[in-house]
Amino acid sequence: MASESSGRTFQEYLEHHLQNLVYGPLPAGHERKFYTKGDDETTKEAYCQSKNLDYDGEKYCKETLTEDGWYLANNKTDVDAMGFWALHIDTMFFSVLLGGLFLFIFAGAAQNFSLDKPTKLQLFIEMMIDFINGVVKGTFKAAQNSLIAPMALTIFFWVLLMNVMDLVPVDLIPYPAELLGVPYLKVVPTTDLNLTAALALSVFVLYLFYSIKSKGFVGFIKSISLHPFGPWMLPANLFIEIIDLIAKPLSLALRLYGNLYAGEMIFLLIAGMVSINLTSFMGLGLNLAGITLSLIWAIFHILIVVLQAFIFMMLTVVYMNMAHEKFEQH
Amino acid sequence: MEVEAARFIGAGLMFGLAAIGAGVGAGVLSSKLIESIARQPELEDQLRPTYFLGIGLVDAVPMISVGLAFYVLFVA
Repeated sequence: MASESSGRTFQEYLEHHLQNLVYGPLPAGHERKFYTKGDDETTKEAYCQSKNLDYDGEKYCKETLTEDGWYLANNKTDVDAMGFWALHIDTMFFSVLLGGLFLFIFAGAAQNFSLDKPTKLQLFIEMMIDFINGVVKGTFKAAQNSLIAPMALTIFFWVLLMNVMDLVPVDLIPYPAELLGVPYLKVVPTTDLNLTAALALSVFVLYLFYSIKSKGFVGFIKSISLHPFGPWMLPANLFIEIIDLIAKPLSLALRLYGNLYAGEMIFLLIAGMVSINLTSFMGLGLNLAGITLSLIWAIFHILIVVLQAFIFMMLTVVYMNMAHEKFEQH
Repeated sequence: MEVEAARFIGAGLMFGLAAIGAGVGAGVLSSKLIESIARQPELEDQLRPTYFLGIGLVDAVPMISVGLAFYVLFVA
């Protein structure tokens, strides 16, 4: 198994790949654990002692913190102890990097714009802008707002780029990073609920803002309290409309997260199956099966990756359209 | 009941129900798309994006269920 080469069981391999790189505050007195290196107990103990740590007799070196401070988490107990301020720095790093990449490519194409000799990149970007423009024009009809189409373009490409990281082989970036001393690394930002929830909440804040702007504050209150059944059923209206309101960001966030997480999970299971031992017949067979399965799943996943980015964008535009509708008494 | 056995039964139920739901949903959607195109072939370009949007929405929840089933089976 690929997991064996890193000295882990299949289970530990999966858990290792599903853990973010977390940076956060740890209180004094918290006990941190590190993986030791070595084959038998004496070498493991020597390794711990060379780093001035205690050895716990099995897999870990122990260190008890003497003062509060910000640390990189080494395992789940560290993450639990960090609580609210556990920052997923790998998610932040890769999402900002990919957002920057998107802006860099599009800005570069805009600056080298030419009517006589368009480059292939320029043509591709024009095509994409036409496509998004068409979708927004077809869906967003309630009002005039020049912010919606650029926002849709940004969401589509940013989410698409983050999703495409899922097609990068699962060990290609995390394994070299681990050799360089990064304990955990998750390269697909959209498999982190924090990121998808942040995106969905941003859309939700815009939804509330435009709702109140176009309907007025009183109109907004009316739209959530008087709507399906009329003024005599106000509590029931409020109940239904508030659930409807909260379901919007929740479903946006969970749909994107769930799809990408499930996809990543299946890639990991296939990768865990692939053998590194090429000498035995069994190992060779598993390897071939793993490569074939990875390929099939990757090809199927291309559809999901693009579709989920498109759906996120499409639903954002639909919600924005709903926000811009004027309140009407039925 | 053994916890291990319950885990396998649970994961199996999740896979199966997800497949049934997604199958029915995608089947209804596709059949309606073909019907609509057969009736009004000139609307095909407008129907296709909506169809893919629907397929994406139908596909999402079972996919999540499959991912969680694998989680239950191997990690939890």
